[in-house]
Amino acid sequence: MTADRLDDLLERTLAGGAIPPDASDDERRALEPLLAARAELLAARSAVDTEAAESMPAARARFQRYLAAQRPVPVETRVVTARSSLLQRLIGGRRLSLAGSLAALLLVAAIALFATRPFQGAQEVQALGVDDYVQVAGTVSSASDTTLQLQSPDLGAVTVDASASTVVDAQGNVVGRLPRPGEQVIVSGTVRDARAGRVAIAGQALALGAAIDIGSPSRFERIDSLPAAREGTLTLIAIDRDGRKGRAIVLLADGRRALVDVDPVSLGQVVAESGVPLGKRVRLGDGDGPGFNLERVDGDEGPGHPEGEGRGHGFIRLTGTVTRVAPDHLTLQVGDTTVTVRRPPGVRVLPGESGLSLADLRNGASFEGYTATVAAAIDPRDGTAIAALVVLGPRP
Amino acid sequence: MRKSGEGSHDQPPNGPADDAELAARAARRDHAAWEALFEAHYRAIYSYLRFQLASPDEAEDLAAQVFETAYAKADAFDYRGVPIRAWLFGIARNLARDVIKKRVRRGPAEDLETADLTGSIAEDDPAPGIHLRSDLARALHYLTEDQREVIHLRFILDRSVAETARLMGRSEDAVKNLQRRALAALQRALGGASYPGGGAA
Repeated sequence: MTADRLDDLLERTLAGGAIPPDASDDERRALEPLLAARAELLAARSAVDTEAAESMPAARARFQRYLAAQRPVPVETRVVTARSSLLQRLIGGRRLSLAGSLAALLLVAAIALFATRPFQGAQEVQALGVDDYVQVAGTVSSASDTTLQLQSPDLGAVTVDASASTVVDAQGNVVGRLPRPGEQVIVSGTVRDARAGRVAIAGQALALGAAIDIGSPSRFERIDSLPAAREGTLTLIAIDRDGRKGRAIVLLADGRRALVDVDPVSLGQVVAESGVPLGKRVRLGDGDGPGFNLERVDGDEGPGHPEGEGRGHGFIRLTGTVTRVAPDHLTLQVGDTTVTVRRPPGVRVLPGESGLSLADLRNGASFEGYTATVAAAIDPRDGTAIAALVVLGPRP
Repeated sequence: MRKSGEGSHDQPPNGPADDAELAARAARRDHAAWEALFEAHYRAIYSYLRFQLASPDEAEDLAAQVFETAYAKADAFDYRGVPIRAWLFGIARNLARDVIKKRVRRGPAEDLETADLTGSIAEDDPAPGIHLRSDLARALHYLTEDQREVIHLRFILDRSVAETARLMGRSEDAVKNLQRRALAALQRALGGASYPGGGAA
């Protein structure tokens, strides 16, 4: 039994699936442990295959954005890179309050939506990414039991997977039905597909009656320097999977639909001040870092934007300290009030300014004791808050 | 084990001619060509890195970096019949080595259980997790780099002996010998029956 002989027998065994009949007993005894080791590997391989396939959309979107960033930039358009931790700064560190404001959530969503259009060309690639958290408004064109087709002025046709239990009315109450064709909605969810003509969002919460005027469908253009018309209406927000990059689409006064990276601090302020940012009037300014400074234009809401402090588009915002985390709910201490928040499957928990990483959260790190802001709907049957997004902040 | 050319993780272009044409387009930084390369090779690159690094997040991040690095170096790639896949794997190998070196410099804080092929996922996270046996993860780390590589190429990525030899820059006989020693070492590390020494190199 030589090394070459064993090598040959092993290769023939691997190719044929059985130990060749000409192998001696000693050779069989030598080969059997090797086959056992291979069996361990094959058992693991199918899991790796699955994981590789499932990681591919996010990686594809990232590579598409990378490719898009390598293209020569047209003279009339410029690219600005967003600073990190936009979503985190948007929501984190706020004082405890129970107020209806989907702003943080909406802002985050708009940024994500912009960021997720990988296969529609350079602009789209830079605007959208798989796994981004996004909020977008549009009109329902068709609906089935579990899926909506939405016409978004920013994105065109969007497929939204939704459940009736996650649809809320303007008061934030669960209505128990999917939106009907012709109804306007704001969708809060996660981008599942960002390819041209296939933009799909896993809807975590949908708000009916979002009659904000976000303009007629038109192609957005990416802007990296201050336009002459600096004011406009916020129509979409989005944030990447790590909560570090945010983007927004602003319908400028000159009619252009502008995709911009935004300064996270300023975006946080807009969210904090105005609650639901979609439909809000905002002004773009130079930021200290990469990305524009975003500033709310006081008292000048976009047409149709719901007024009211802390509430809009059916979502509320809860900010407090997480006192308990369970698989299906978390407990938030909001001032003197203890609030139980339901966590439907798939709801994002973003690390924000907690100092935790996404990997920490995936590995089961506890975020009890951290502050958190939760964008949520209200189930009218029992008044329970239903989370659409959780963003962590630092420990108090 | 599938034979060479049978289905595997990635589906390379149809033959050397297509590969050469794709390589030429890639060298010109044709974005469509790079999208095709990504579609063809991402999963194999990911799987390779997944077993090298044992962390799904790192594997995904590095797999994306492989294509970004390759694109950045596209004009330096000289096809000459060398499969694009080999070039991509070479980049993946170097990136993985860099990560591992950094880990070593950081010290032994990360034990293999947490470093990890167990890939624990938050219970509320819908993302699929890979739940490889932790003992397999540990066992793989007892192997030499060459042994791990031949394991990955032959048994995880289903590469033929000939292709594995090309990718590793070794002869086919050397690959056959290496795969036998790698399986034996893995079995020993797994705590299985000791490998009869007959012919062990």
